[in-house]
Amino acid sequence: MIINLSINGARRQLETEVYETLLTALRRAGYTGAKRVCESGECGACAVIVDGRAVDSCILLAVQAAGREVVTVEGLAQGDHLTALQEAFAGNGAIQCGFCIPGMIVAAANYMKTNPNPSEEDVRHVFVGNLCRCTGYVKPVEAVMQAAAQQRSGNGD
Amino acid sequence: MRELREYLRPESIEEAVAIKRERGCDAVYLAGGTDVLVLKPRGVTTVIDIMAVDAAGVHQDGEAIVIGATALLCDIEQHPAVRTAVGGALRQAIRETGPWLIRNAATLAGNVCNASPSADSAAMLLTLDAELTLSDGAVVSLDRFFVGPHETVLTDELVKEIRLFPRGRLARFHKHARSKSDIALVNLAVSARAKDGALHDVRIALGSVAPTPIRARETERLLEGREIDAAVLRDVEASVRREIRPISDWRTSAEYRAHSAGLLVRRAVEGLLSDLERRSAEEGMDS
Repeated sequence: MIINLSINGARRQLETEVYETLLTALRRAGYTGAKRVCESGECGACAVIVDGRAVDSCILLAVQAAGREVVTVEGLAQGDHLTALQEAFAGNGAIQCGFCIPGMIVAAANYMKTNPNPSEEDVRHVFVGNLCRCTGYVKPVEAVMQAAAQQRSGNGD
Repeated sequence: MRELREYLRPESIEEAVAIKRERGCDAVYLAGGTDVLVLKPRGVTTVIDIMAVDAAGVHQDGEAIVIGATALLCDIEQHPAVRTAVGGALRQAIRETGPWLIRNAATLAGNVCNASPSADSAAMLLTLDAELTLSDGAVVSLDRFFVGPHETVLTDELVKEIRLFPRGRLARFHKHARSKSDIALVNLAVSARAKDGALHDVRIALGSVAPTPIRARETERLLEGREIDAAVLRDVEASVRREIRPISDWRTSAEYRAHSAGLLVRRAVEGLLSDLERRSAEEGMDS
């Protein structure tokens, strides 16, 4: 079946089977920023934003996203201009093997919209749903705190 | 779920139930999908996505907080009535039901209907006398709803709304797990009304220690209206361990579950007692 949806602001048509997840459909269409890992909503590596809410795309049917607005990690930056959050991840070395980072950035970017003034505890609570097998949580948390502070002072995106 | 070949998105509860009646066991209701897509029930050929049904509201109705079938956990936890209910214990239970990426998709009614023995919201809801209004208008008390693991009294009906009665209650919730995103080794809630310096209408509920979330009624009676000293608290621990039926699995042993269930209920009761003391002190200052 064919579904119509918006991906990163552009109208797209995706060919999908009823049983396929949004993650599968997105990756086949070339949006490989969302990573396939646990396929059971445990690890957050496949996070995308659907109608303004960050969710695990591995436990969402592609057809559930029909008619909705999907933003993947590829859709956060404006061309070559990274967001303050992405810059903060890069600047803080908030990366080890890097596989979980797109999911973390999508989750954090979306969370910062609902809570522009997060405490460190708030950020750690968000990352409960983003597993890093390298166990590198300290720097991502620092990166989010820095980006949020920057955003509040008006220097962010 | 490779057998899946039909996706339907009805716009009313009546329509959804009519489809389910027609398709029977071949169809499954889908709300956020965060359980269905993980459990992948075999043989299901049709999903009935109920998220287009107009039932996402959360509101206060007299004594009750009413939560619609399609209200997301992330919206429920933000609602003012939920934030302030039972000293924040209800909000805590909802937040610990799943990480943020899950709460952005999952519904409370879905967590209840999935009927996991370890459902984190269930213990809290049981201690707030939760009632489920079904699509046929029937009202079922939550403590008569669960039948077994992933099994409820429902066949084709839907839960339309959940009514909770936190007003006038003190409550504590505790999830014991390796991390807040893990499935609970034990979860539990206690609640009671404070009257004349004692606990009344005591409710104790636990998850992950029986085939369904359960009330510990014998233990509730030990506390009802009584002065609670160290001996009573010891009895509480022992009584909880008698009332539960934990199993050993790869998460932990039955012995560990029994040990922690007793201890954690005792601590939660101690928490209620300190809430009670604080409330009595505040009332003393008022008069």
